[in-house]
Amino acid sequence: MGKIKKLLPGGIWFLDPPKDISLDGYRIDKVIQYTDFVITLYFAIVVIALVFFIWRYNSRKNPKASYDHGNQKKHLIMTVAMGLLVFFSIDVVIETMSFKDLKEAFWNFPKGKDVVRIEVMPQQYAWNFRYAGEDELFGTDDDIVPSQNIMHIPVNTPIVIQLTTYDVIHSFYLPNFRIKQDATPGMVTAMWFQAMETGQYEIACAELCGNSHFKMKGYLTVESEEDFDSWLGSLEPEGTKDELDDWGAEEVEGVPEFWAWAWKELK
Amino acid sequence: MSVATITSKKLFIIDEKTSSLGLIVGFVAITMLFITFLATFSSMMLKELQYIHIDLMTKMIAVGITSVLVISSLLFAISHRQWLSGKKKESSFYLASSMALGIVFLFGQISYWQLLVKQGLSGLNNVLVGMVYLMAGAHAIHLIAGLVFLAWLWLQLNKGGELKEVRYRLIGWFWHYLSALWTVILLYLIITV
Amino acid sequence: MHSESFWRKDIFSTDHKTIGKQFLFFGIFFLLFGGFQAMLLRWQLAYPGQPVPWWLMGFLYEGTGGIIDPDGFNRLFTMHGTIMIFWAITPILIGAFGNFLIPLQIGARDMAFPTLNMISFWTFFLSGVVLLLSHFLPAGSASGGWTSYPPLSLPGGGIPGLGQAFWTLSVTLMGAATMMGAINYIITVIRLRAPGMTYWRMPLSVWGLWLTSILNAIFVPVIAAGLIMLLLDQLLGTQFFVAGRLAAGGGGDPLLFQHVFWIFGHPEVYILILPVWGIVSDLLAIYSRKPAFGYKVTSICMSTIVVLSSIVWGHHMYTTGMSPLLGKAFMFLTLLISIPSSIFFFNWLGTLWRGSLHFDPPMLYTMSVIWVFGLGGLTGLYNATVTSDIYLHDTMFVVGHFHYTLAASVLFGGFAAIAHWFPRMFGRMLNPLMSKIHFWGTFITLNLVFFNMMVVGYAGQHRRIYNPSEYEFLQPLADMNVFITYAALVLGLFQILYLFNFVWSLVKGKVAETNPWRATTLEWTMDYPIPHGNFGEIPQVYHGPHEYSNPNTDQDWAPQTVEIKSS
Repeated sequence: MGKIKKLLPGGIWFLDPPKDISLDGYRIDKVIQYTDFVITLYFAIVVIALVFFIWRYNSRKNPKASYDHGNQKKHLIMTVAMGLLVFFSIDVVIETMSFKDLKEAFWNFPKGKDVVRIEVMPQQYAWNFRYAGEDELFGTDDDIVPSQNIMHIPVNTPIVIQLTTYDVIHSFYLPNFRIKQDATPGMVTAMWFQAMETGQYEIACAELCGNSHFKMKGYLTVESEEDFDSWLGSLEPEGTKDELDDWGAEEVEGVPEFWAWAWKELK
Repeated sequence: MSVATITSKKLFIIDEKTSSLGLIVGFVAITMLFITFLATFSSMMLKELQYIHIDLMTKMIAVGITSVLVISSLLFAISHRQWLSGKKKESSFYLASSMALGIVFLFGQISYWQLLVKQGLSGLNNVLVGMVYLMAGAHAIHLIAGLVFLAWLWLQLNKGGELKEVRYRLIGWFWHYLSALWTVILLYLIITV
Repeated sequence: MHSESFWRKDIFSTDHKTIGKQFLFFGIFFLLFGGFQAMLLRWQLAYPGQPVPWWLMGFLYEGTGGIIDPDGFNRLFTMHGTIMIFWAITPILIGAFGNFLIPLQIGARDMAFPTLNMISFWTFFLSGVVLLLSHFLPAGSASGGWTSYPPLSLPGGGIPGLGQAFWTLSVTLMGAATMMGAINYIITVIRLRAPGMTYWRMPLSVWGLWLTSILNAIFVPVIAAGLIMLLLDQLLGTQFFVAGRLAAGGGGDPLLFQHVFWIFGHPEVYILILPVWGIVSDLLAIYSRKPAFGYKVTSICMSTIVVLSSIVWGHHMYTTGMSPLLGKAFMFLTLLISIPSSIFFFNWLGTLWRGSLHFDPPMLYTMSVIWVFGLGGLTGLYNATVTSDIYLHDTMFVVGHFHYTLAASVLFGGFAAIAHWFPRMFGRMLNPLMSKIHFWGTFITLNLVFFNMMVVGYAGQHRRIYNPSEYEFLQPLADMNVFITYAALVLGLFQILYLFNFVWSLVKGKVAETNPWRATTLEWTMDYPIPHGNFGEIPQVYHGPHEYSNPNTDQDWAPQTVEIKSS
């Protein structure tokens, strides 16, 4: 597949996707590249057949069509074989690749000490982030809440995020990591990723959320462990701020948590 | 092979089998509507979004109201029988009582709803209760349509003109279907709530 | 035939042919309306925030200084999607050709329930009026996307006014109309087939339309249930689909709407495409002068897809955080569809193989369906696969993909059907030269538009964004977006030519002979105009719909009403 990649920038899609800076993004690119390859192959077969038929069997060259219902056993075997060929050469392969990737990476949430946990709560039209602080518990006084739309993560460290939303459905979209995850009211969803390169990247909302959906943009800074720690240290913990923040004031009994919830155990 | 043989004489006449099949497809559609409601209800229940508690007594009242509809359906069957054996007058009487019980059921549903509201079960802040009201309401709209058919049938009976048996039969199907539908929904609700 | 007044004959007609034409005109009107909205959308995506030029009716945006504002943009794509799916494709393919073809092709005098058929059209009409009226609401029409996900589409979601409620109401009405049509089509096919017209002798168009109706009858009630609940949420303040902070005391489940929507929504995709598959299978046979390859296999494959389509809705929801087990199951089931699809696709090519291809305009349109549906079907693989969908979900890639399968395939299928049956509907031929120019113009520009939509989607551009230049990672795509827009505008110009061709041919086209395409099916057996009641005597059918080039006949086609004596 690598050779095909080199012929054209972006493969059959002409334009390159955003630079992949994640640990597992290559897996998605690989599935896409394999699919590119097989669908180009099959579509080429169809087009070649079409062109050949147009050239060979047009009414001038072939005034008399053959009388053939295509209903004999050999035809049936041929068509079914064709269907199975497509199924095994495309579907089974991409399914195997995809299942493997899900099992090894996307649905295999990292556990352990060095994981950075972040709670993400989008609202119309901004992103809120919450870091647990020193006690590693959410909803405590030492939680750190940076300004809206600002997210920092350390490089080469697994990041696990949990999301829910303040109002309508949003979708946390990281083009440079090839992933997105919906944030739906009333439920907490999760995803994880790991950056391999430092730099400034963008966060977008992928699910229509109202008239300013298009500028619901966040800024992701990937930096070294030390820079990250000093950034985090420079922020004031939430508990030391004077008043309750906007959301806390509105909390009503019976309303599910949508901010500073206790970290959900992952299956 | 069963193909409707149409002669030019009956150019646009809808035959019995055709209208019966049409009604059956209609039943499939209405059933799908209520299956979706029930599935939605069950999903909300399983996710434990809300709780409803209805005591046994209140449940029994619902059973009582529903039995009115079942009896109405039986009365319609009797009325149909009578009509088939030529007893026009009895048939008309049973049809009228079936209709009356249908109306009683409707009012029963309304007062039952008021009873639930009095017990603090409002559809506005409890989605499970809301689903119950929604199903009852959707069923009631179909029931009102059914009552219109019944009234039409009753008028035809009393006008004394010619009435096609198939119309009697199909309106009957619809009426029985509606009582069966509500019975099933109620049983489901009683078991799960 | 007895004479009828204008009102009975042309307006509240119960004649399936008249109703079919009514649906056709209705659908073409909305097609133009939705198409125009697409042009405005493209303008905004190429030149974000620049005034709409006069030739795109910039005066519509006088209130905002000639600029489409973000709210207006959201309304545009919401209405574009809704109109194209429910008020353009549905009436043209299912409404017009379902009505026109089913009774004529199976040898019936009319639909099983002619009055219900008339009510169905007028309910449809009413739903269209409600939708159009919603454009004149003080706070504007709906702007929550054609999927109308709650809570955005609910009062708490921030969309002002009654636009969303009008949307829900009109789609519900449309569903009711579709339902009536579906009951009619199903029963007509079951009960009113002419003697000798067995299921295995029905044209594949009828198969497609019939299967579509079955899906409609089963799944339209599902979305109806969801829409009723949505409407109650919007108007009465129930909380079926509200959760989180917006819910006062528990609330319901927004995800439930997505399930209900896609349980209907995925079959809906097949509802729209099945008639085209049927029509394409038939037309390929007619213009290749050769029996459809593997007729039975094709219809069995279509039926299999009907069944499978009802259990794959979850692939629209991979990113909602569904459980891994469900995600894998939905992916597997979705990929299964590729087996029957590729089998009947192969059958299409089999029909062409060793045929005698006549490139009349209907054939050009038909063959282009092979191209666009091939591309559309194959690119579906990216979206069926969980991992690649995590990246491509909600990007322009998805938009390009479903425009290939729905817009392109269905439009070309519709153009083919109109060109093919125009002589039957209006007694005149569609001008072939203009049709051919329209075909090539449309085919080329349409591919440039939809393929490049996938290109920008693969490069990361997410959908439904007012201004792509907000994002740094989308800035390299600006040129491509401008290019797509110009291609789309040219595509739109060619549709004006089509409209001209349609009207011109309607009035001045060459008067058609009874059977200009030498087709075998029953609708070509009587002279134009076809009377109310269609057949003088219900015909006897002797064989299947594709008896072309049979060596036992003198000519290269044998009408279904003519017995072939084997020598």
